[in-house]
Amino acid sequence: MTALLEVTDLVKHFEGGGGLFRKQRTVHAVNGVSFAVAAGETLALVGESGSGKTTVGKTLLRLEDATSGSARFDGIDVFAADRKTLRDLRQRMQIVFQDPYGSLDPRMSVGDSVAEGIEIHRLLPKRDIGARVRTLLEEVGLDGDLAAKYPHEFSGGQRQRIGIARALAVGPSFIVLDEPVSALDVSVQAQVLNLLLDLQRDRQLAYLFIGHDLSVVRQVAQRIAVMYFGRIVELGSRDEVLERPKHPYTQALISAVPEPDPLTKRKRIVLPGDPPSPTAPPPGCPFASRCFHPSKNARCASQLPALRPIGAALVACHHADAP
Amino acid sequence: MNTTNAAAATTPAPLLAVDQLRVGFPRPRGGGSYHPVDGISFTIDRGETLALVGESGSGKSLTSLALLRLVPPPGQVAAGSVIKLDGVDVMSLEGEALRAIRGGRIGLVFQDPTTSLNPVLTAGYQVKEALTAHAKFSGGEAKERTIALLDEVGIPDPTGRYGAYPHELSGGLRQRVMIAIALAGEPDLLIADEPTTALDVTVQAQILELLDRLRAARGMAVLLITHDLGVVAGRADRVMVMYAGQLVETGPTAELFSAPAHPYTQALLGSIPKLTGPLERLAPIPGAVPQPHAWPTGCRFHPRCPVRIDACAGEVPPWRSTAPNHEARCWVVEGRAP
Amino acid sequence: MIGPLRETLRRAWRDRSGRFGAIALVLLAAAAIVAPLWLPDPSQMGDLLAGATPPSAEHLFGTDRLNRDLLSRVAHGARVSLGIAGLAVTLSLTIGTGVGLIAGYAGGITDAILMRLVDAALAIPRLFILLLLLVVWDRVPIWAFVTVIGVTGWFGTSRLVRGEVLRLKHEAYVQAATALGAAGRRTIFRHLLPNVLGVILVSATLAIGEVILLEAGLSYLGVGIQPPTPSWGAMVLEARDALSTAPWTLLFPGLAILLTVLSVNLVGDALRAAFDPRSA
Repeated sequence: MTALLEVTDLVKHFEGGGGLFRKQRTVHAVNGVSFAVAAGETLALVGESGSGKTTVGKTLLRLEDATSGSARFDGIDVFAADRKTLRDLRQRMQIVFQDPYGSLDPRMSVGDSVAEGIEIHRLLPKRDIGARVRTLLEEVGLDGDLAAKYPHEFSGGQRQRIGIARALAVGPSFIVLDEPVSALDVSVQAQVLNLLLDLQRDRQLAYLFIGHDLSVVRQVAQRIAVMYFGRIVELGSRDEVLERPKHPYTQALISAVPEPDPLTKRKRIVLPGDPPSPTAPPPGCPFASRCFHPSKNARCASQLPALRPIGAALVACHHADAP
Repeated sequence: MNTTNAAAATTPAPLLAVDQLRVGFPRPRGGGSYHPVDGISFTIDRGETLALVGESGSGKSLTSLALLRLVPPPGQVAAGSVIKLDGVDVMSLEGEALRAIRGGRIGLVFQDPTTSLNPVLTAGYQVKEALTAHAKFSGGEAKERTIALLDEVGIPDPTGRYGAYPHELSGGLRQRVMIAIALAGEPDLLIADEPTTALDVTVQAQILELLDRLRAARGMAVLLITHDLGVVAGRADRVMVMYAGQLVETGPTAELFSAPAHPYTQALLGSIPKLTGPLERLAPIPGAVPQPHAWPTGCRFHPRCPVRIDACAGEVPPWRSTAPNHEARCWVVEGRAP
Repeated sequence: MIGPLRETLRRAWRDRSGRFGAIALVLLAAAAIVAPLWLPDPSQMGDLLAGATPPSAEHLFGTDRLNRDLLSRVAHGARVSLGIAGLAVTLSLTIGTGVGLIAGYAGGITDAILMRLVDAALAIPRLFILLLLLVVWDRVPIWAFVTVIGVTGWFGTSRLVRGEVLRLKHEAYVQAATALGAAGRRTIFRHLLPNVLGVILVSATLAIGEVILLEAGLSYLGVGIQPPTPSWGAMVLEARDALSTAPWTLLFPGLAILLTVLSVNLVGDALRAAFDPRSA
């Protein structure tokens, strides 16, 4: 299947802090990420804070400008797109944000927020917009009559639904979901996850699901990419990554997920320390300082491992194929 | 540490005994008050880990504040609430005696280390402040003990980190500083309010491991407050489930997870995604958590309950025991004959 | 936008001192509008030999030293003061908001240039420019007054607005608008402007008070509004020597200035508190 979205060697560095007496500091947020998403499928980008996953999502929609690398959507070069092409792309690629409390303009009615994309791209004559907004709200499980209300009158879960309706309004085929349920209560997460799955099925949507919770990701993704320090360290099908993790970080991540079953016998791996500082990337494998692999050696600290096939997955580790 | 009951008893008295704890807030318009914490009773024994599980709006955080009489005004602990620490009635304490309990007998680790630490004071200073609040130390000795405490909570290079400001520390380190502050007064009971919520998963594991280790080393009891059932499963001896201001189920952890008795507990377990086991579509709980000023009548969960019967809307259900020490407050639960 | 604005205004209304200020301003504005219809001509001198007379049934505020009805003069003065303040502040707010929005949203070189311009302009004392007007005109026309005050008073607002825009730029809903394909203009007018409105309104109320005092001060110094146009500042100037003989000629215009500036500040305080998201 030809990929709908193809990302190659995406790099994003943030320059900051320079001045008369301060040293220029570069934050290496994303350090060479490559992946593809097929139409109608969900690829999960999993990592902890500082892994660069949110930045990847934002660069794909040109909310940030990539430092280097390329992204092709349906064959179109996203980063080189001119104004008009970019506008068209913005109808086909959308995003849902993490924070339900900041993602809606507090001074606009939710109906106006949902309609905004329709207005910008002039998809419907003015008189038909109201009805379309109602339909969209109902499609995400909200009462159509609520269109005139303002965001502060809704709960977090409802606001997230409104954000989803807003993204759907322009008819995209690909949506970046940036931690869509992380800020929601436990019992609401399930509602929104099911909604996302239903919408994907009904509208043939492709998702880039950015998250940190592997058990949530398991529910929605067909393939999983694990990110650490701005790089993908493991990439494979959902079951392959979750049941046969090969990269030590993936193994640690899985073991750290708290399971609501006291009888689960899992090897408890507790990683020492913290990830390296994003302003000072180490020369070799960024995970080396915390790695517990029995074959870890000097090569790990000096040479950056490339993403290579091991078993049915892609793994960035010098020793993942050793026992 | 005081021991009011010197005479040995057959079963040791619980460290903390809470009976019918209620916290009230005045209604914004109109008279009367509403109670986000509405009649909680439980005990904690020395050295055990008790988990209090609930979603936002259940009243669990207020409960922890109430135990230390730190409920923000205009809220207050309602009359009739009993909080006994080693037999001493906390509700009757004032001034110096009350301050001695805060941090000295009961330590509280607050929720979000980013906002709970003073950004303009160094980590070392804040821990030292907690230390000297409960015991007199000379300047040098205070610093030494602070560094020892920082080391005990697993902060690498504690001498160097003593002078670090909160923003220079990672989330995990900040949380460790918070724990150090809570431990400074050598408390018998440590209350950890959502200690891992703001942290990455791998850091969560570190912190939970730390809490376990500290509990064993110091013989403390831990009250773990969280919404994350996964965190509870691995670490708690007993679990209490809270919904809409009340406890709905209590029991030993393994028991509660393998045979949840209350429909809310069952629904909650069914609605959370799991990493292992069969992959099924999640079953969300319909409806939403009720607001404190509009609790439903009778059993507060009944509007959302899949197995409700007529009686549920009318009267508050009694506690029914399904196994030793395992109770649920539900009309539908089959109780064991006492 | 109307919904949340109304909610905010309602919240501001609940503040007692804010309410007092708002009512007082409305009454003052009413007096200013009604003045020419019901009150005698403020330049009409009565019996010059009588001079300043204390408040009586005929003259509620008394008369000034030229036997002109003081109530009428104070009411007409309100037109001048409030009018100048209103127009000048509108001018400075418009310029300041525009500059702030552009600088904040565009960032980079544009922002740097605009802000350095502001820094340079702030160095020139406002009073100085105003005094220059006297070089050009013997009797400074009101439009010149208003224009100069307006054009020299927008710097603070621009900084305030720019600050808010810099903060709002990173809010998720602004990024969402960009992701939906919104161009700069749309983002600025539909998303940024309504959300900086709170800051602007507060800035406005403070500026009004400032301008009234400025005008009063200038008139007091003799370089502002020229007679016979009544102006509170000028009235206070004239009444300076009569403090012991005719205190009411100083009292009433002085009270008018006090009341207006106080009310404006109270309203500003109440609005600021109401717009604060933390009190939401």
